[in-house]
Amino acid sequence: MTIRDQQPSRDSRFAVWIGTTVALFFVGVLIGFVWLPSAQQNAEGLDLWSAICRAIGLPTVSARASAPLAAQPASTVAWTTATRRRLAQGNAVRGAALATTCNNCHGENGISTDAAFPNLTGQSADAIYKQIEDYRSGKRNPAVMGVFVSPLSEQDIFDVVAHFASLPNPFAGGSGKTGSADTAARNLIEVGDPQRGIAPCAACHGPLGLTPGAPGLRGQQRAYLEQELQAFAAGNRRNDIREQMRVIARQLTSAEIAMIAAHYSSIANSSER
Amino acid sequence: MQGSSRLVLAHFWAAFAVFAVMIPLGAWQMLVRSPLHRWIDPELYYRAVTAHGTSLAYIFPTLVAMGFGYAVCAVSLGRPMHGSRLAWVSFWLVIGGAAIAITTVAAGKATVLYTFYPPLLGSPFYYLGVLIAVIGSWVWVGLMVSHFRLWKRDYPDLPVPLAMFATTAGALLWAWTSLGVGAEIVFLILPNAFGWTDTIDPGLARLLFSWTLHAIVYFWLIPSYIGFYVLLPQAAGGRLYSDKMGRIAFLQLLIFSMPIGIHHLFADPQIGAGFKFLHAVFTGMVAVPTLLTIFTICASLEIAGRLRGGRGLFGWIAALPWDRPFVLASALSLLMLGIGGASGLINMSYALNSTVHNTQWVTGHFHLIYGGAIVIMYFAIAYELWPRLTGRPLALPKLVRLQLWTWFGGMLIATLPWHLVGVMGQPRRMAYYNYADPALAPQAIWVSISALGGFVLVVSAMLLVGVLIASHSGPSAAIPPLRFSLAINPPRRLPWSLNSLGVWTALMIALTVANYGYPLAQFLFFDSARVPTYSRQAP
Repeated sequence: MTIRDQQPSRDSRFAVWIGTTVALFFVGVLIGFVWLPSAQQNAEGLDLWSAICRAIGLPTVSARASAPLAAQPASTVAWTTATRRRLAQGNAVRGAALATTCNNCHGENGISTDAAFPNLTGQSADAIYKQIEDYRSGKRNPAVMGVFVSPLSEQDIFDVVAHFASLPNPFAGGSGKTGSADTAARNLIEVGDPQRGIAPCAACHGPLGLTPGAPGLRGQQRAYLEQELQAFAAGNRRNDIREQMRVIARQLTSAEIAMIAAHYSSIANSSER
Repeated sequence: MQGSSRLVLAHFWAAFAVFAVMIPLGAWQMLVRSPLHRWIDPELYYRAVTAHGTSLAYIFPTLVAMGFGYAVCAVSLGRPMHGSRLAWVSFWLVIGGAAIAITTVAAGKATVLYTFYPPLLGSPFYYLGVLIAVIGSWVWVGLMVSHFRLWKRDYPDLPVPLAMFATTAGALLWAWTSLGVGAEIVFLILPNAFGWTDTIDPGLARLLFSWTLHAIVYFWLIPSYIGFYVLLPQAAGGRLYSDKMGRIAFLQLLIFSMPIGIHHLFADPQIGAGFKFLHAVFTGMVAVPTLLTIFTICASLEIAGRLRGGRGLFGWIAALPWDRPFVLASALSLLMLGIGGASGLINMSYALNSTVHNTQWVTGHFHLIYGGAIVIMYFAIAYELWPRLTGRPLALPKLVRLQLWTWFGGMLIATLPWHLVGVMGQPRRMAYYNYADPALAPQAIWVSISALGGFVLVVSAMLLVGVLIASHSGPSAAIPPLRFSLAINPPRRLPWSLNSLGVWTALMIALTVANYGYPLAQFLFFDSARVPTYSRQAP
């Protein structure tokens, strides 16, 4: 092999290859940040500088302008860091003392004995907090619950929430009838029906995914689930933040609602209490 | 092997032990989400995916790269290694970290899949385990760089042997690329998993993960390429066509593997389109060293074939010693590299990516190129090293060939339909699909075939472990020492640019800064969107 020099300064390959790489970089920059953005049809009227900003990822002035809010929000609850911090600071022991009133309807261990009242065990702190707040603000019909939640102070609410969230969850193990994919209820719950715009229940309520504030449904009371789905479908209940429950429930037939409610409540029956 | 045999053997045995457990787990996953099985609890499926991916993407190839690195160091430099105590510390760090991570996954505390994409978060012990394993591998990086430098100091006028040059380039690449996931774990994930912060920036986390996510593939690939350059020509009975071409290919891999990771984020709305294009351009450049390698390897094989009496345009192919495991494995690997490379070009193309993004096409692609083209070369390297490490000849040569063929066949049966259902629109990372739905029904047959391929791979994996155990426990024999292939014109002296890595490492870092600098600054300074994390615990 021939070798002219061992000194890096005299090895011209460095200059050639680094130069080529740098040239490639600048050609890429020119195409990616100038030519492509400015050549796009929807960029008509966009000046070069705005086009470059957009390609870089700098938010442009027009993108920052937001439309004025006209509609009323479906709920006043927002999952901010502050809300989460307050939720984490609830005192479960104090909450247990406050919860004696709740237990009259929702049951001693958060498992209701009346099928019209929901179980509170197995729910996340988010889920219970959101419903209490919605009853207080009137976003959910306060006919029954209003009288119980309105005297509570902010701290009372966080404590009661902490109490119920700390109860052992008898419905957590397994997913009920594993392997019974062929039932229509499980198909709706785990696959949904894309043609009717029905997302699978499990995508927000678990176990596939979890949306903050979405309640757990495993083991929930059958009559309660049915009544709430009907209320969403009829538009009588409107505290779903992005209207997703109303959209889905409207698409479900009464038979399907009954089936889903039966499936979720059956998970309680199949597990040890 | 200059007193390093036990060290190398420990790495390879640990790697193949992980492999033997995790391959059946992978086949089981293919089965339970196919129409051949009833749906199972998705939690179990995702837990299995997490274990399979963590073990086979982070632990298995790292152990192989480390073990082979020590072998290369001892054989190519021709003198005993120093720092073997450190090497053992590094080995046990990787094993210990892996044990912590996998135990946490098995306990159901970290069902996060093997990618680190917050706000989905698992137990801190999972991330700590992975971090400890990565730190262990950094000790290996230090040892490789130190051997490289000491050898250059002692023999300033001689070329660093090609295998050592490439191993050190791979080590430097790994050191730099693993910083992305390291930073993500240390600065974002652990503080949140331990409860010190209550929100996390998922965009920044994705960007840092992409820093690691693509170049890690080239870290896996480099041992296989080293095998092509320094073991294959000799196994085929010829010589390497060009030593310099090998150096150029490894330098290009070092430089172009890093500034390209954003091609994993083509669908990410937080990254500017200009950066996506720029990363696509540099991803295209990585095809160049692969094409150079394919050319050099085919030329080397042609030399071997003609030396063995092959004549005519293609006669040299038939004249090659196909009964030798390394020759057979290399050819099968190149075939899979060709198909997998083509599907990779589709993934990295900014426009075509949108049609296959997040579909089973992507999983099919990386199983074919990594599980197929790269891992079959790990087998070939193990077969080549085993007699030298154990002092016993390789047992059951017929089973060795059957093992390689079944791995190749099984991988094609598994991955080609996998690609196809991706094009048909099947999303990846789902625990089940409703094949009774008329829209999904046409995919059922292909998914079933693919699952059968998974079981062929299990048979092949068991054959591999069987052959390695049988060889390790057979009678001792006189085994000729391992030698690396000579080039037709072995370089006596080399220009500085082909014998040093400092400037090229600096160029790699500069390109990374150029291509990642602004997107990182965007998240750190202007565009932070922090959200609370959640874990996949059933409500």
